[in-house]
Amino acid sequence: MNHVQRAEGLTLTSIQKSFGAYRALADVNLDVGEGQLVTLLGPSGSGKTTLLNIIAGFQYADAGIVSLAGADISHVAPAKRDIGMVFQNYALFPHMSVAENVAFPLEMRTIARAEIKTRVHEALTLVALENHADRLPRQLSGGQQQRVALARAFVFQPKLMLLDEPLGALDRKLREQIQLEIRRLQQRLGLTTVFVTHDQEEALILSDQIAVMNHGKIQQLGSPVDIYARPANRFVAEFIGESSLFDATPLAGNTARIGEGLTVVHGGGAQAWNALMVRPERVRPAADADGLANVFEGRVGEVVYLGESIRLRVDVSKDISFLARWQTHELPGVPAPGETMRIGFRSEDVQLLGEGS
Amino acid sequence: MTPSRTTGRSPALNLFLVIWCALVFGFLMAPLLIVFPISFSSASYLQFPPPGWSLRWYQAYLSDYAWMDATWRSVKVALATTVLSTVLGTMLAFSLVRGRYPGRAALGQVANTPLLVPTIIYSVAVYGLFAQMRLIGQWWGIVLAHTVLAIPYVTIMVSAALKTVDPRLEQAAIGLGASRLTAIRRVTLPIIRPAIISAMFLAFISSFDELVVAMFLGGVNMTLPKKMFDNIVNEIDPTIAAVSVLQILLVCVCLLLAKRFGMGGQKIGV
Amino acid sequence: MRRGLFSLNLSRKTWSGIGGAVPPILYITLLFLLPVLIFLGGAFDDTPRHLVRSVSDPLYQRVLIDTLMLGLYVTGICFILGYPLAYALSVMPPRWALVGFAFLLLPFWTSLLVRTYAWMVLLGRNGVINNLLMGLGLIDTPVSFLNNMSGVLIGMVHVLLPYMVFPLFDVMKRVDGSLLSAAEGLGAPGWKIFLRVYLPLTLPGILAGSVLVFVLSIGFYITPALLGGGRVATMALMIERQVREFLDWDFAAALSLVLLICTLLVSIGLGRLLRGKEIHG
Repeated sequence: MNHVQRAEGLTLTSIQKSFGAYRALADVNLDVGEGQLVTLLGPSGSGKTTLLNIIAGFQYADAGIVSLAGADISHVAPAKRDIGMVFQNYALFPHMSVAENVAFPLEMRTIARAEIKTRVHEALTLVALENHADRLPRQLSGGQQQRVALARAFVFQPKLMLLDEPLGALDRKLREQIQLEIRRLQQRLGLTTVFVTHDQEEALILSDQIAVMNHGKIQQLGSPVDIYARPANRFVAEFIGESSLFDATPLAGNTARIGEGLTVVHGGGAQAWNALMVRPERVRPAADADGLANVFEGRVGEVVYLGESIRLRVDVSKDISFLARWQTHELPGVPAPGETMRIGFRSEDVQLLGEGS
Repeated sequence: MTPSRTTGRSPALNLFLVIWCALVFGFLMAPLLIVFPISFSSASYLQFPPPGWSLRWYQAYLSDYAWMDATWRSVKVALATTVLSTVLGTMLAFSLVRGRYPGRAALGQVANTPLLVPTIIYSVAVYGLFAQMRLIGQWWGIVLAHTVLAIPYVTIMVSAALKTVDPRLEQAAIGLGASRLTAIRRVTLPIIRPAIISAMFLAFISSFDELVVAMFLGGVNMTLPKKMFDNIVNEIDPTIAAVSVLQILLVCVCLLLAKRFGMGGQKIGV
Repeated sequence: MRRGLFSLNLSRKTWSGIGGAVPPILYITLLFLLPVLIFLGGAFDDTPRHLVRSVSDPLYQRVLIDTLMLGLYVTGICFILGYPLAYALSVMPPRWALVGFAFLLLPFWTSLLVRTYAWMVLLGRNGVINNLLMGLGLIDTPVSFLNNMSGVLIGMVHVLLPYMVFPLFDVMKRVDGSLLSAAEGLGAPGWKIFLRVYLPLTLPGILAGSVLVFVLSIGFYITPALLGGGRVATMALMIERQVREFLDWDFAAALSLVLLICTLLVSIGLGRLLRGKEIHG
């Protein structure tokens, strides 16, 4: 692939990395535009660890080019890369106060004392910790420590900010709050950012673009909407969100066989495919089902009541079941397990999928 | 603390433990306490209880050239040993804990062998070597040998502290623009400073008190322990009690300093 | 939990960081391993006669056995004195434990010569203890503690007791109190809890402390030399005498080799056992 190098932002070209016989990264290409936030999303072992280490400079790629703001930094030492990093457990220096932690990268760049002082104050104000400047990290809550780590990472106006699962240690509520804070700050400062996570929800909330990784490759790069609605392959479809996913054999016309006597009408589109999927919210209940391209009758299996919605499984044959999610207020009542029920979905709701690479 | 265990003990067991501790601590402290009254005795030979009180033995110690000479030599040897062993031991600890090369465990074992080999064997061995090199009687010859004995202490203590420091802190510092040395100097060393200070005290005392090596290598130039040894063997006059009191006070000061600036009392044990 | 992304790759074998080990290892090699090996090499001379003599001469057999017995006695006494002490320290309120540790550390750090001298003052024929006992009318003539085994034992136990207590305390501190409560809850009587639960749990500490004390005691020089008054013969004293009095370096090397082998057998052998029993990882 031919990548045009942009003046700003991060460009990865044909990055390869192996550990002995194990291929950690196989030809990774990625563009992060200036001011964009791109998430590297994938299960552990997918290669996002290695990729981040290569961007940061803690490991060197076997082949390929890392360029940042137009310059090739593939062989530049980590200290000279000008990348602001937020580590998984924050890696705040325990013997330094909050202000000293934030001042550290500025001191390393031999900036005048007075300027360090103002910039530290500005950074701490941005993360609403200006009143905690003299505390030690251990005197702060998890969320506050997280914000100090963030301030330390952007205070020196790095060309790139890298965040390594920075929210893993926080509880759910705090996580959501800080996710939004990070996004707001990143946009306000216009920071080019790479964010690593294995949490798909976090990726959907935060990102301009998501790079879904598996087996050392980027399986799909796209906006959250793209990734969710039009997964490029089976791995992405399974990794992001819930779906009813079946092995499928193409038949004549826009139809496919998914099981004994069961065919599905789809909207076409994909080249080579051997599976298809339907998102649960696309599956409609009986009343709306008539007139849709695909209608099935089945028996209600599991029903999970979630308050504003219900989530249920409808078994249409011995091994074919559909997942559906409906708003409770749209339904006359909650279906009971064992009930017979008709469901349906449009042909456009069917996504054809090939194998991931 | 575990209250369950405290409540589970019978009063008889508690009483036994209190008495036992009192007896053992009495046994441990008795020799330290006994030298105090003797050092202030006015009698010119060992007599207990002392017939009267005086400071003559302290005067005797401070005005005797041989005692002073031995004392200063020991201080000099111990200080040099402290510096040398702290530097080498800390380097080794960093390499063993942070290095990523095969055979690190074996190397650690090699570095600890001086603890395993009885001092008398090492003393004789190093005496043989130094005699050939005409190093007997040189104060720095003793430093060289004492450093061998002190390195394991430093390495063990610094390694233990280093293992508790997240290596990502150093990496974070490097990522934020520090060189590797700056990262160690500004981040890692300050965090493990208490352990290093404790190790330095241990190295100092281990050298300052060491007799067997110094006995072989010192020749006619005696260290303080050698002078005390000779004094005990030849003539027991209470000067040595005064020296003992001063040494005990030195240890107290070292312990308090180590507690204040080092890792606290409990961990400087072994 | 997975490791952080920025961490070093631990599976990667490199030579990174070996540079720092070079000066200290070189130092230890040149100033420790080299002289010790040269010295011990003397034992092999041309013929193995020194080695044969060191293990077959009844005199040195006697000394070796005495040395090992001394080590056993010292270890046993240290264990008996140290086990309850370590237990008490491990369950004391922290403030008291700190005081206890001060009592343990102060003698531990105090010069060996100071302590040996003090024991001579206490144990001598006209020493404090004999004076006290006679003053109380418990004895008529002074008991001789010095220049025999009892003095050496007292002095060595005093020196080595902390080496027993520290590892014991370490292990006892980590014993999970709820295990004992559980045993109690299951109806086990106190002595049974001790034998079946507490003792096995603290066994690693017992072994570690015992190995340390035993190994140190069989190589001991100063205390037997001063408190034994030349009447207690240990391997360390014999080695010194061979070199200083008889200038017989090669035979000293043979005796050293015997002593070293005993030391290594105990520390490595029991070290193995210890690793097998290690519960706390």
